[in-house]
Amino acid sequence: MKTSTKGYKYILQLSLIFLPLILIVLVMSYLDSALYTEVPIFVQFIIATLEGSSDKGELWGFLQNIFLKGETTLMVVIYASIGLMLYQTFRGVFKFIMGLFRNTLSQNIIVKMRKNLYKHIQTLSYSYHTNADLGDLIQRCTSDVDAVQGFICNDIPTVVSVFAVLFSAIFKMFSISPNLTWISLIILPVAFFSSFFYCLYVQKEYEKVENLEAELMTVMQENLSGVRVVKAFANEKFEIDKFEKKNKAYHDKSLRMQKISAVFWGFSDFTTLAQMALTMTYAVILVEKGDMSLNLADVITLITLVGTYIWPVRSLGRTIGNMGKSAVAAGRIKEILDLPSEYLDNGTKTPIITGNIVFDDVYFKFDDTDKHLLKGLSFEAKAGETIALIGKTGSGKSTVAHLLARLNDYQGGSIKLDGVELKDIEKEYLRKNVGLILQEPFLYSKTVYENIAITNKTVPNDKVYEAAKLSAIEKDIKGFEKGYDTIVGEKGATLSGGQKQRIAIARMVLEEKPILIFDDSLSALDTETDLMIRNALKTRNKETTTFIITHRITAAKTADKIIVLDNGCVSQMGTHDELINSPGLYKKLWEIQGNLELEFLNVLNGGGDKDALRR
Amino acid sequence: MHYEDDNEALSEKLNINTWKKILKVILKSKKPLVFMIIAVIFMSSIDVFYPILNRYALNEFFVENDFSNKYLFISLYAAAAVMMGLSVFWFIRAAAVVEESTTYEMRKQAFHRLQELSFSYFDTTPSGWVMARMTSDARKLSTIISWGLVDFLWGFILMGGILVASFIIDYRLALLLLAMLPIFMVVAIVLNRKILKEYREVRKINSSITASYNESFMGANTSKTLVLEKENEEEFTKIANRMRNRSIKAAMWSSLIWPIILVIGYYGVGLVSIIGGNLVIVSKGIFSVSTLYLFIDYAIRFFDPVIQIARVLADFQQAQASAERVISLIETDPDVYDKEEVISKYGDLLNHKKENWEKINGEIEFKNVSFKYKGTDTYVLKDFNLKIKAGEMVALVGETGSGKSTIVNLISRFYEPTEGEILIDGINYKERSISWLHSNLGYVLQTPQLFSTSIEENIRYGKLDATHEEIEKACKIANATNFIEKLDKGYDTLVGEGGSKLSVGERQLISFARAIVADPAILVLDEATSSIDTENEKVILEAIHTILKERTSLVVAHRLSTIVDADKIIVLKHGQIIESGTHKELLNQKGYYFDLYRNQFMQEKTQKMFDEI
Repeated sequence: MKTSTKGYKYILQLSLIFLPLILIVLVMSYLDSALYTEVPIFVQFIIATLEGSSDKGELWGFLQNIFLKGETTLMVVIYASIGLMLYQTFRGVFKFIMGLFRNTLSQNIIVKMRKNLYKHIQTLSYSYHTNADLGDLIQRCTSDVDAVQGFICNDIPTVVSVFAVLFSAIFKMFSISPNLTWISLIILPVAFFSSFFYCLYVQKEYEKVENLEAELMTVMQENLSGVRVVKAFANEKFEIDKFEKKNKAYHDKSLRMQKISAVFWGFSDFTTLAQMALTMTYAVILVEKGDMSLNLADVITLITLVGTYIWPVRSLGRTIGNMGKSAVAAGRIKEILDLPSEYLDNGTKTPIITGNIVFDDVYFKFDDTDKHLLKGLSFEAKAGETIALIGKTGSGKSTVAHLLARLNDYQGGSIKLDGVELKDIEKEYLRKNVGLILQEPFLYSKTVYENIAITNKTVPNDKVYEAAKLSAIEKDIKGFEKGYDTIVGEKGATLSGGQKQRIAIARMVLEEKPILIFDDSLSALDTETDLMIRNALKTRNKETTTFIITHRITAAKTADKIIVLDNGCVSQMGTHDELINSPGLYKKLWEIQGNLELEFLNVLNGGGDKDALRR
Repeated sequence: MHYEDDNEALSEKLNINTWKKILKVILKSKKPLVFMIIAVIFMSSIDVFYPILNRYALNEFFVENDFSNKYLFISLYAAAAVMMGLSVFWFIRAAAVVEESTTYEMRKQAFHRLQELSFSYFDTTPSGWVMARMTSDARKLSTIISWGLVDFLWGFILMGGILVASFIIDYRLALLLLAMLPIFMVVAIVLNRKILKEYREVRKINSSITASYNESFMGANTSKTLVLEKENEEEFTKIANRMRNRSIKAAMWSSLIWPIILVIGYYGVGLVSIIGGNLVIVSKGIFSVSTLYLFIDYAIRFFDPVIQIARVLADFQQAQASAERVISLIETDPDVYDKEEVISKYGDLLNHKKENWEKINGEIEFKNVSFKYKGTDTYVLKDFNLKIKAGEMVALVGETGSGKSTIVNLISRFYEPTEGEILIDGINYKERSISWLHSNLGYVLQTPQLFSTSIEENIRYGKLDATHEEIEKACKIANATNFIEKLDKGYDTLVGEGGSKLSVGERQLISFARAIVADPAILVLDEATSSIDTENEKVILEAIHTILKERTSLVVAHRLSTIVDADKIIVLKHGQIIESGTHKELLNQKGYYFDLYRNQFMQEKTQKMFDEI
């Protein structure tokens, strides 16, 4: 389905939700414009009165009667003028109220879209977020939302207004003089089509201009980020010439586009005045030929009425162009809203979890490949055990962690937590009990304290300090200038990788959980600190089942059970002592480490192959 | 400077200096400026004139029924239409030229100045701030100036024309129009100010919404693990609601302008028709009905220009803020610059007098150098002394903050010592030009910086007049030839923005090739292998080995495997040298270096070998 078709559907959906308000706005827009064309009719009445004509024009009968109650001509004129002033006062208030309604509608639509998008995007799957294009997503949430709002709250009312003005004006003009009316309509197709095609042209050209500006900005951005390189190679002049080329290119193209728009506007204004001239000329001819039905007031009114619709019709072209673009924007928003939430596939159970885990012949593959990453993985972990998962890059270690937190779901086999099938457990409940610390720690743009306390803002201070202590980050925090109030995250202080990891650990261990998983999240720390943290956690709660996914044998050594993953399934399982004594990957690894120690000592003692160090 | 809020800051009072400087830029397009003004004068005159033409027609043809001049009338009207079209065409063309030229000129000057600025500016100024000045501020300024000027002139002349015409025809009604003027202006200006302020607040909240989206989406997966979705949603709802309420408030003020002006305007119209009507009756037709119509027409069209002028004045306030920011950029002075005498001998940044440049041997000496960054109190280096012989390879080791990057920055003259001297070949490097040093310096950073051109063009950046053969040779030495020849377009392959189409390792190889082609006497490798995977590291280490022969080199390395061959390894801590010597000497000292090396060695090796089983 084309994006714009999706878009129109979405716009329709939105409109149905806000139907009452939209109807009010549309009706008011129509009335406002229709009432606008009445103003020249007041003037017609006044002029006709002063002229002494018997036919005072098209003004509403009841108003004419009121005004005509004046005893002298002047009194009638005064009544009519006051009437006009009151009429416009009424219109002013009406316009203001219409504006209020329109703004309320617009802001409510925006808020609805924003909330929906935010809420929905959060529920999208882990895989989606890992691959998502952030910039594109944000554009959909900001500029596209704006465009859709514009469609409903500006473009549609504008179209309604323009037609309202056209119909009311033409209707009135017809009652004055059909012939003159026909002549005065010549400009309509001219104005509309010229502005429509011009807007189409402008949109295309504008894209090109924007691209040239983007190129200019790329040169600028690269110059800024590469300033070291620029200066180090003394290439300032080269950069200036490079910039000059792009600057000039943008200038020339943008200017050219503007010069063409000058032609359009010049033509447009010419036709406006030409239409006036035409109407006047024809009126003159008619009167000269002896058409007595046209009096002064009539002609004046007719010309004024022509003026009321000429400018709105011009804007119609641009409005219609806009609408096309907005439909595409709406389609883009709908695309995101149509993506499946991860909670569509959710469990319902909330069993008490103590930490007994059983993987039974588990199969897993990613959606975009055919190859299975996990092929019949089976192991058991009892509550309170520390399990180490070791394996080469790509062996599926992290996936095991993700499966346990249901960030990805397994396709075959079974995973049971305390006897309950994982897929039956409610996702959010599960994640509250399975503390997974991801490999790449993400900190929020808040203070250190707020980051650690993020899952429970009202937690007492000591718990936060305790978590920091457990995670061996307390000393570092005290060393920051602002301590716990230091702002971190994107816009905040730069912390080292290890510090970020420790804060990530602190926030996860703030509250006790039956299962903890460290997905290589201790990698930036040295083995000592790693062990220290884990021991402290063990002391706090002996019953926590801990998984550590790691490269380092020294870290895995102390685990209750070591699981070696190879090619998607368990190749070895046992304690450190058991494994170094049985042939296999683990033993090889241990030997390498031993050999390396020897090699190192060799180097120290002045001998040894220098190249060995570099190999 | 608060870069965040700065984008929206508005200056309250008129800053004449800023406008003088902007005027200088604008006046570079004198001719179009003049055309523009003339065209606008024509255009507004026609706007004043054709109602008079209407009045004439109404009188002559519909009252007097005198059709003798009808052809004159028709041709005048036709001429007016044509003239209108032409003047609009001319003024838009001219205004466009003024706008585009001003944007072009400002960007040119700003960019030029940026090339001259020293490193401290780029270290302390977020690139986003600079970009905003070059993009939106430069454009906003030009747009407001050219079109604002046009709208102002149009409004002014129209208003003036109407008043003049009115006075000529009948001074009484003219006075009435004149009396309406101040009321309009005050209302329009006051309302515009309020609206600007409200929308500024709205924009601020808008930025927080965008930031909130950004953060939530980046941290979406983390939020899943912490089960924070509901809280995040609540927080976001709060901001979204706040924005809605603020926007409604701001829009309310916006919705006020037209209705108020409309009402006031038509009160004027009403008065005109009453007073005018009276005149018609009393003068028994000498003051004609068509004249009354003319005045009513003028009265109705009188307030549009007033609103335009008020709007332009408000826009100029915004423009002044943009102008101040752009000018501040153009007028910033560099910290590190050459003295007059040096420039006269060696040339400046853009014009190198290469004839006078001495050949460089590559001997570097730090003599009692102390350094602290501008605006801080702590010295990063104090009384630092170091001598590097020509052709030596010196390695710098130490934790973050120990002074390694500072030393590199000082040698490269991105910063200058606060005290003490740095000598190159025995002469203080301030006695020779910055460009002289940089032309003899090769630099490879930790994160490879490439430009979005081809591989060949990127390498050529090191030596702008390098031949293809020289580039090929450099690639061979850098061990980059292998992967380049595997690519479809080889050397002409486009690397994408920042080099995104290549892997980090490949980009780094190109950076090396670039440094090699420059054939520098001094080579600086700043953590050049930190972001390389083990696969490419071997390749690069060989390359480094080759290219460091016969060049003075300074290697800052996190990966100690890079520097085991160094002639001298300097271990830094808190800006002081705590150990120095060759690799073997240091290992035997069993001190800081020993510990560092052992830890790294074990970690790196284990990982590597494990993956290779």
